[in-house]
Amino acid sequence: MKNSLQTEVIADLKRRKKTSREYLRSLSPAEKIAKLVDLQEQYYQTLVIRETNGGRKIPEKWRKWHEARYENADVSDLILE
Amino acid sequence: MKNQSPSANMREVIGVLEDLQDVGIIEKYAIGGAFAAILHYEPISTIDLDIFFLLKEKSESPILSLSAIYDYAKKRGFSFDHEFINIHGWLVQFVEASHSGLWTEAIENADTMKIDNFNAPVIGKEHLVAMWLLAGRAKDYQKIAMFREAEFLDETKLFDVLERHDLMSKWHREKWRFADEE
Repeated sequence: MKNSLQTEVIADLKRRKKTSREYLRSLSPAEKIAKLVDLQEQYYQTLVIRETNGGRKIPEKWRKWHEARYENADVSDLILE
Repeated sequence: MKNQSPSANMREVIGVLEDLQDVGIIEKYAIGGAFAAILHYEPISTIDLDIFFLLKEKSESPILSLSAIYDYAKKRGFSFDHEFINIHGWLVQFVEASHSGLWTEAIENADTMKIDNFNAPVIGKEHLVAMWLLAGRAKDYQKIAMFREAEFLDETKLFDVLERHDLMSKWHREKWRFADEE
């Protein structure tokens, strides 16, 4: 019984994963670039949390990525009037 | 990175690459690596944008061949280190391709991909697979597995590329690394 439930759960997980990947694959190149930027931001935040909690330091290449992304950031839109 | 859409930002990067052609530093270029995999298939995590290029004036030394690009970056005010040039918030890695027949062919036969309202040259799927096989790192094999899973490779074209660049035996030898999941 347990095995059949387990099989069902795994099958459902595979189905959901397939749906999500089909969606990602159907995106236009511009949308894929936007998703990549989201992924990068999320991954970097995970690394920050890991380091903040005493885990491994943020890898050098990700530090470089963060520096590059934000060193010339145009923050004029963020200035409150 | 400026507060604009990532694709608009990418338009500016492509603009810089076109300018590098206009000022006579590079002859041809194409997007490769994981970024090309994303454009062909699905978003995966990568920090940089690999640009494979051919110099206008050929150089014997790979280091000298990059110096013109670094001089250009300095003039344009782009920061850089030994690995990347920061172009409008993207870490761009330039790879001079003339010493490799496979890489040169990949640039010359690149696909033109429409991104919003601009076009970008992107290395074709079969050439990417051959380049990953040649590089042979774990992450390269993962990308080959991903492309095989997609079932969008033209196998006749792929095997033709592999055959012409002496990669057929490596393909058969390493195939178990990127075999189908199921």
